[in-house]
Amino acid sequence: MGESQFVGSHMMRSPAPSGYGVSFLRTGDGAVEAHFTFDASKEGPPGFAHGGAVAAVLDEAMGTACFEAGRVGFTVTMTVNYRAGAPLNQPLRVAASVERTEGRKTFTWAALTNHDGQLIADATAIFIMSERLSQALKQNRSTNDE
Amino acid sequence: MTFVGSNFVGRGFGLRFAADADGVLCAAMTFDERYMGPPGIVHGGALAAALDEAMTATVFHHQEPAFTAQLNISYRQPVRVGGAVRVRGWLTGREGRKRWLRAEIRDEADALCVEAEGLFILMSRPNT
Repeated sequence: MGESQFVGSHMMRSPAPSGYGVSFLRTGDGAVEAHFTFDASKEGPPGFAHGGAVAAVLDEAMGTACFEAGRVGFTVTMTVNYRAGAPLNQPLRVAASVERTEGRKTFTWAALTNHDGQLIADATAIFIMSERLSQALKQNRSTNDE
Repeated sequence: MTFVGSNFVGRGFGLRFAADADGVLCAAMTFDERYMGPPGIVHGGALAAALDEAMTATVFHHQEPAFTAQLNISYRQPVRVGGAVRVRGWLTGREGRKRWLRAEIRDEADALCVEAEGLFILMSRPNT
């Protein structure tokens, strides 16, 4: 695994029920995406994921886009717009990218779609860069790599 | 959302929400390392999920099942993994089938860590 490959937060990487089993790929131009499924552990309305599960995946996607841009940081604000239900046990795609930067702020965007490309939810978030977090993540990687 | 006595138990974290006299739904929670984002810090998405759960408990408390249409979240200070927090939700307005809500996560010192505004839409009533 290359030094620049980001595998995501503990919560997202770890399996259900508490985790999501999601890991991201770089898709070029700084964008990131992941393909995953929500299982029954994420159920809200019958047959669909709850709003919080959708928010969590979008937040992770946008944080990963920040990482890809070399701007690791903390979420300051996030807005999620829910357009359609997120079906359980179906392949979904989440994609995110950095829209622009302003000093230490990073403006990001993400979208969750189903396998037909139908939009389930979209989100924007502002992250604030943290050098301390960047260093802490580098330390974690060096202790985890074999 | 399920009901245990007069409590509302969320589908996400299984938070047990109880309503106070003012209709504020409140639950206690400690996020352990399963919910870690940055090292030692609770994932922003986990916090968003807890806020969504509080708002869902609130609409159920008002006997108006509804789904999330929009969440606007502001992260004020980090929540440490292993720290006890209180999650609260309450209704702020109604407009047709729209429901406006607020939710908060506060730490043991009652400091505001995360706050959110939510827009929920009433679920359709089944035809009878």
